[in-house]
Amino acid sequence: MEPAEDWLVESLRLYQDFHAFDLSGATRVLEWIGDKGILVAGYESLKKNEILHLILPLRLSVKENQGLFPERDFKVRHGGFSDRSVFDLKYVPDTRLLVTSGLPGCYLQVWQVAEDSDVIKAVSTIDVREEGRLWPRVAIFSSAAPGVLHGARLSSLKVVDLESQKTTYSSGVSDDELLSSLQVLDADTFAFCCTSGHLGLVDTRQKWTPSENLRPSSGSAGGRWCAEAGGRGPGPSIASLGSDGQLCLLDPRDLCQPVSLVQCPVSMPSPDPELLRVTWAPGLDNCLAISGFDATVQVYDVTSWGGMGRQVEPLFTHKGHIFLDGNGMDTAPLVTTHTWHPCKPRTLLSAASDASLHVWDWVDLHAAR
Amino acid sequence: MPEIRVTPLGAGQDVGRSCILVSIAGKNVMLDCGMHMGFSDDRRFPDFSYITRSGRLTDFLDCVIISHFHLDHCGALPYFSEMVGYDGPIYMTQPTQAICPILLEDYRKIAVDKKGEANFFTSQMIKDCMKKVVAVHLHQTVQVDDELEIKAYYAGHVLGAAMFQIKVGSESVVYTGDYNMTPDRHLGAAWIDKCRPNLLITESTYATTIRDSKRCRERDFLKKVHETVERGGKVLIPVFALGRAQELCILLETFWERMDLKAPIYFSTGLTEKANHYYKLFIPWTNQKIRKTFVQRNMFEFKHIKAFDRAFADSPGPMVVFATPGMLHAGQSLQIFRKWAGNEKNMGTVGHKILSGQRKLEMEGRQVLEVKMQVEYMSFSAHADAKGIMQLVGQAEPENVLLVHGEAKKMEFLKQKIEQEFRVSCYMPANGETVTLPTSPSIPVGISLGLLKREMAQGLLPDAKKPRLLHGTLIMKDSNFRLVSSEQALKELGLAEHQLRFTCRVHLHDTRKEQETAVRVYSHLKSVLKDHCVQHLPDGSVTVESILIQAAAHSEDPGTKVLLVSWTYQDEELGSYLTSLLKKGLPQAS
Repeated sequence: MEPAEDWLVESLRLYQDFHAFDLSGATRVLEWIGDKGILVAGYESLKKNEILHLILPLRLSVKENQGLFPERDFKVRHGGFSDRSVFDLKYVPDTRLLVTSGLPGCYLQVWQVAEDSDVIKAVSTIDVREEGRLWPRVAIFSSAAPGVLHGARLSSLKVVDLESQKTTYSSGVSDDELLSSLQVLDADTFAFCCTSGHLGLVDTRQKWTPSENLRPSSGSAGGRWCAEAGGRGPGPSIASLGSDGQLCLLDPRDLCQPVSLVQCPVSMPSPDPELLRVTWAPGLDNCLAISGFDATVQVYDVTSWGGMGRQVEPLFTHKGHIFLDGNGMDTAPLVTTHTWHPCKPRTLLSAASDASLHVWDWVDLHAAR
Repeated sequence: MPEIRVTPLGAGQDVGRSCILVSIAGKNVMLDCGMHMGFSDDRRFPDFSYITRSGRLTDFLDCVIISHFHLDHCGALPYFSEMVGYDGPIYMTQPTQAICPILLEDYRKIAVDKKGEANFFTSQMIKDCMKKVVAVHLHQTVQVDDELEIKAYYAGHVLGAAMFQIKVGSESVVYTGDYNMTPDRHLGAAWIDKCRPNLLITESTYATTIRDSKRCRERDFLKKVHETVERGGKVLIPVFALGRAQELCILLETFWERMDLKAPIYFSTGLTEKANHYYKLFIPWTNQKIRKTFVQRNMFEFKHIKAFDRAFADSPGPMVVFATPGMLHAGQSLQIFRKWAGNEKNMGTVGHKILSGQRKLEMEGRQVLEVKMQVEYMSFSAHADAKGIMQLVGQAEPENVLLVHGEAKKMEFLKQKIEQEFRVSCYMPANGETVTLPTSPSIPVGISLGLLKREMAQGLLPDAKKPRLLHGTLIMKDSNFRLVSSEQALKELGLAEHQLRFTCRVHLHDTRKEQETAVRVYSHLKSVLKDHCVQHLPDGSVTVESILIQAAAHSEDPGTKVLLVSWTYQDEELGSYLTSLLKKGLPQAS
């Protein structure tokens, strides 16, 4: 108990706010609905998993005068059951629909969040042509007629109209590289990243001509990669993370010339590279977070990173999942995913394999006072 | 049709007062009798007219059970027993019995003396009400009457809180009251055995929440206290005298030690004495840790926490004070509050008015106090959330679950979750709505050894998987059921036995002698009736179980044989079957 007590006392200094919750099942997804609600979903095989729409504790929604809001708990606003594991979940903006991807089975499930009750119901499916063991990544083109971008390989990448299920765009390539992330950037563009580290930006108004980085030659970089676009502030806005802790920053205008390549201090290569996540802070300049190596989430300030091969140090490391382990397990859990709060600049949510869910607002100890 | 009926009482869908009526096997039990703290008129009491329609409460109700001392569970008890009228037994645990009257009196004082309310119970009524209380111990079966028994289980939540099992014969209901499935610093977690009640009734107020961890709440508390003290400010913490104060003291003491803090922490003496007194009495109800500490030393002997003196309130510099009562209405807390409220460096944890944002308070003598100090509300009282409810249902293994105090539309998902996970039915009645649960009670019947032995002797041993038809007589006497042989029953009743025997003639074309016919019949029946005992007796007759078949020659036609099939009324079915089988004829001899 001692280290846990120590950490809790330390946390007074390290965090402005800190909340820890226990979900009934671990989640690999944290998807926002507006800025007050999030969606989580279970990924266990051979059992019914829950998809939950949780409303953030009031404390976190209110900007000031937090003292007068005793509500510290998440409210389960809606819930539904999934027979299969959910590995990806996306909310379709301005609708009451969700799209999930998982296993077993080659299809995407579309759900509806009820208006007059608290139920999330399965309403339709979208067929996908993939091999049995692959699950497609999903991203949503939101518009009057929403489109679902999905694919497990470059060759099967396509955009499908949600309502008519007609394919509106497809890569049309024979390259069967495995995809690790898909991200919609605006009404016409999306970004993809393959497990090899090969990434690109695609304009759907043209036939497949992505602007891409140099494909890593087989045997180099190694490991498994994922990426995210979206940095705020001047500087590179695409980050690519490798399973051995390498972080590559790129400028979308010239993907062939990475701006920097650094080594993050991670104790080992990721034990489950599918869980690698790199996210840009929506409310801070040049700030990103990574997870998927262990029980921590690391926050970095990438300003003035340049050159190759540097060792960098995180601005902040969230260790809550190590110390607040209520299950008394010997091994620390693995962080399965994390996300930034859309409005509160230093607030993040992180989930781990022991079904814990943390909401934390870290203190920037480096900032000049 | 035997059934269990449950009706939550009270006006409207409002959460805030617990009072549930349960009818089980002809017994009527009232679970809790709470007051709604938000109303100051009759709406604060449950709607007893529902029961009084049936006549006098004392005649109608077999007992009242109170789960714990919170006013939303016992606040209406004196009104109910002394003003509406009930003289039967009221069951509760010992700590609840000790603490209830104190809280009731406190509340009465505030309502009547401070707010000037009419139609409220008096101090004497509280005393008279408590005289009807019968205290119970944990896991002790209490016989309310010949048929109704109750048993209390540990519920955590607050000192003395219990969950109750109500049992009549083989039917039972478990009521949880408020409970907590995660242990804290001074109370353990709720626990119940696999008692498999017909119905589990649980509060669902927090069923759709996922609770922030205890650690984080404590952290927040420490952070706020620390920040205030660092600024040189004062912290006022009004608490209910028991439980939480102890917990917070332990927390602060640990923290002060670790951070090497010097600011003084004070504890009002009234609080210390009261709490000590109750903890001594109810040590078995507290957490393992507390028990250890208590044995070693006086639990309020802290290194950094001292007794408070009113004069200290004027001392400059930072300090922390725990004071009574919980809601800042009167007494020490209020006095200190007045002194400190004007300084924004200070912080207090308070109740209603200030929580709702009021910054100007009218005090006695029309004095207006402007509240500049920061206000924090800390909630430490633990209720079971969605996860906790699932855990408890898993422990008790009920056949049905009933949730009270939730809105049905907002809990469809939880209902499905419970129903799917545990394969039970889940009900969510509104206040005033009755849920009826059909039950199939099992009635134990004693079978006489003689009858059993006779059935065994009848031939083939019974197949474990197949039901075996048994004839006997059921004697019901003095709520006792016995199954005996008919002869035995007749003997006991002093009646003569009559035997009914049926005989049927089946004509068969067979030119052989009757002995040979009999042999043919025997072989045929033996091969067809593999499950029955078929015998060929020395006198030529064939028996199938107790049925007798004899072959005789037809008086006029030697080519025809007459089979006489006879059976007693008990073997009617087999007898008829045999007859129709034989009428079909015998297979040709090979």
